[in-house]
Amino acid sequence: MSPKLSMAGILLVVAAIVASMSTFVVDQREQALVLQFGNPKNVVTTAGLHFKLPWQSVEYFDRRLLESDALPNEVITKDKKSILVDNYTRWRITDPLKVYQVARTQTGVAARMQDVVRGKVREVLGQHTLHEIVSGGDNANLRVELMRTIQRRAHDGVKDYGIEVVDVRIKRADLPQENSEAVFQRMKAERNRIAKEYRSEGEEAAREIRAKAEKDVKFVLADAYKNAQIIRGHADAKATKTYASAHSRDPNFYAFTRSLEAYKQSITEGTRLVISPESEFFRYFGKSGK
Amino acid sequence: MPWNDNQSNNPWGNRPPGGGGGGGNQTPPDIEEVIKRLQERFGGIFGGKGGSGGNAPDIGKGLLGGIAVIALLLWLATGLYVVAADEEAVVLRFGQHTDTKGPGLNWHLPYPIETVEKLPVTRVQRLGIGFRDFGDGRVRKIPQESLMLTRDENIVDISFIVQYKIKSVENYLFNIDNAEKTVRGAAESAIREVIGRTMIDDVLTTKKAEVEVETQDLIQSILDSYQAGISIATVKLQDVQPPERVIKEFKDVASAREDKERAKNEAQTYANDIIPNARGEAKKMILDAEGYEKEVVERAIGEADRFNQLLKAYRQAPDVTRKRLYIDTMQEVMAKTDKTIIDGSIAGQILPYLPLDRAGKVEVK
Repeated sequence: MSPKLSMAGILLVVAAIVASMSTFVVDQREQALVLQFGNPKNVVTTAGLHFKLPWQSVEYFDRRLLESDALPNEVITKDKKSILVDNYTRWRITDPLKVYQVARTQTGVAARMQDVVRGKVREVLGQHTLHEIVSGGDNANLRVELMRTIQRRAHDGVKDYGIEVVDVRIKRADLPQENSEAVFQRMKAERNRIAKEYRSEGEEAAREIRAKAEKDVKFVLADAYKNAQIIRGHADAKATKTYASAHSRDPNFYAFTRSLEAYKQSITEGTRLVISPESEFFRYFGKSGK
Repeated sequence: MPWNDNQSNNPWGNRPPGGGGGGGNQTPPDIEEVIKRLQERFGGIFGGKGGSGGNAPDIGKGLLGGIAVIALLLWLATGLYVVAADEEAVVLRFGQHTDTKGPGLNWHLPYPIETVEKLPVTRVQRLGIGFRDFGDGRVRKIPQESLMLTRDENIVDISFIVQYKIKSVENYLFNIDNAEKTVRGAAESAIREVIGRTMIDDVLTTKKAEVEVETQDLIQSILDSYQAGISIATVKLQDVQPPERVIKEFKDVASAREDKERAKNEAQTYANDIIPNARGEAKKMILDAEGYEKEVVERAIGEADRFNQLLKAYRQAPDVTRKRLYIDTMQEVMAKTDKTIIDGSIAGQILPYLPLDRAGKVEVK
């Protein structure tokens, strides 16, 4: 019994070891390449438990959409300006066998892909001016189109690597230091211009408001003066008419009484009169009447 | 490999000894451990044979069976796990996705057959772009992220926050390799695209909300094109300002705008002062004229009446009245004056010597 049991035990252990060597698990996020002494034998793209010969080894590759972020890339634009482009690439391994043949590892193929993408970025953006790249020029969707063109060309460029480029996105397309300086100077000048414009506009508006107010004042006063004069004119006319209708009844008497009134008014206290005794008033002054 | 950390999800921590008998590929230490234990166990049995005869194997066998059963139970128990209220759990059988579980107590086939990954699906995650938040209130700006070009080729300094959460655990887990980097990359690309077609003055003033909405939509559509399983909750612009180098000039524009308003207000104040004054003056002129009218007309009527009365009386005795009026008046006039009476015959000789300067008015009759 005991030897049998121990034999069974040994067998069990051996079986376990063999089983563990001839199975492998592929995660949902991975795909695998089965190698026999370095020779690719089989590609496994479905997740789960899989079998292999015990002496075969397994190389795993990612199956997800991968991100690859390159260092900023200096691009010379069509108008011979240099621009710093920082882009990232989303890519995916479609054929682990090719990847293994081309670069052995995922990082290796990523580096090769980066080179291709960098070249395509230069190629595509080099056909456009700085203004077009930064702000799309006249075409608001230009940036999107450029990114799509780069993606398409890069996709074609990496066809033989067993990968596909799903998306190339420009994160930043910035001006290099010297150009930024120029932009800052231009912004300053522009702001100064706008500030001046505001101040002048303020002055303009203020002057207009003042002048208009002064005009209004003149209008109001002129109007009032006119109306006042009309009223006074009416009054004078009415008074004159009244006087005339009364006085014309005896102009002589009017002249007499009015003269007397005038003497009373004009000859005031302290007025010196040099009078001849022959005047009407002194008629009885020298002689006692007739 | 990706499931190295599966054990950390296991609420029962350690695996029972010998539990990995059935599988254990991919985990060499476990295999070694299992083999060692098995060898120890069988070695004991071998050793026992020489010593105590027929009894020992039975005892050993019973003991072995008992240990195996307990080990099996413990092993099965490792499949229990709790999914918290804000989580969802993805069940993987030999790495293949088989099921997604909601909150509660669940059981999965124990390791290494099935593993579970839990994800916080309701938690909103926050990502700052253009700055880094150190959590203790310190914030550091990242100029290469926050400076960007506008449509009119000005540079603007923008930092913003993206909040996102998991929309689909399967896509989130199986389609993309690094969620945070994915969102960050999409956000950086999107904001530059949106700002690149907006004018600087709009960005700084009225179109902030539009920029937020457009950026959010764009990030979402980029992520959807990756099937990232992420939904963007909000995009919130934190700090939108001109770059530091030109901030003085921008501030001056703002103060110029105020200067403009101030100049207008001052002028308006002046206008508001002089116009009512003028209106008052105008009313005064009219009222004065009206007063004058009354005065002149009534005077005329009165005087005319007086003249008429006088005339009527005068006509009854013209000569006498005329004389009386004359003398009365002259008396009154003469009473007030300083008089010099000179005979007409000598007037010519004396007149030049009179001290005329003493008198205000001289009348020669």
